[in-house]
Amino acid sequence: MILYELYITEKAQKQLDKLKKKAKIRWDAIQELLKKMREDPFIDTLELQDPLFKKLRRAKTEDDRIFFQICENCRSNSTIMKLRQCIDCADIPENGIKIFETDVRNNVYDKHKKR
Amino acid sequence: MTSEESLTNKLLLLYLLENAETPMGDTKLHKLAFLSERNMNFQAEKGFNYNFIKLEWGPFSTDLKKDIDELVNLGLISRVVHSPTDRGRFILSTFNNILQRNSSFLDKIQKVNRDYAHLERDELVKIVHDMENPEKPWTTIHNTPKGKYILKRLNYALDDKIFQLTEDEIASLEIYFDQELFDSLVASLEEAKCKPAVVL
Repeated sequence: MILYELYITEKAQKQLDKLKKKAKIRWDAIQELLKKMREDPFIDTLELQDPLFKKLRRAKTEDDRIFFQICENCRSNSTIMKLRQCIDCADIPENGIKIFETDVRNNVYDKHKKR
Repeated sequence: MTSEESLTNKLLLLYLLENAETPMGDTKLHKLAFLSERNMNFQAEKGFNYNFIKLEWGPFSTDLKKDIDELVNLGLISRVVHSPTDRGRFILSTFNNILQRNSSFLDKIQKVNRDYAHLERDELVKIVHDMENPEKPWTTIHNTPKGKYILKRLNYALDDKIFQLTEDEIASLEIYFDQELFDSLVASLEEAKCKPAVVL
């Protein structure tokens, strides 16, 4: 099985780092989600259809959302490629996934700490 | 209230204000939303999802008031005297396909706007007061004690016609009705145009 390679924007990485420090349970849930995305980013994720964010996909944990693009989907659609225009497109392989946003704003602490 | 119900409320509220073609305050907006939801409910159509109680100025909904304030704070409708802003209109045009697919709900709003949006607030309040209480049709809204329910949102039922939103439309609307997320996502996409990503 070919695994997808994950790439992340600096901004999304900072959001994740913040979560790791302050909400380990939520961070763990996201790590689990990322693991699944590496194997199959189509399962349990949905594709946005509105003109601005078209073809971006959203994955969810109980508390947080991740917005990403499957690079091969972008490259197969010239309209989407024109919309995204990622500067590093040539450096990311066909099995790449780019994570643009980890929406982890909602009170960046775990709701329930494990005892 | 589910996320789907809440998003439907906001989208229909924006549409109501756009279709009315006349800016209006909270009181008038409450009456028009009440009349629209009443007409939907009569046809077992689950569009607006507000509970209304009777107050001095007629039908009032706490959730509707919250939505009005939220749309103002999101910059989607103007403050005090409400009408959609350019951003509000942008959302309506972006999601026009949803509205067209659910046109029977729009028909109810259009009819209410045609019949009542041109009226002065006080005249509209009087007309609504003289209407029968949809929850207790043997009495008028005027004769209903203050604080009592006069319209309740429909619960999901098999024979109801429900405002249709797909999962991806819900996900998109959640972004558009969340300015912070919308701006952040746009900024992230812009960042990707000038900064390379790193391997995770």
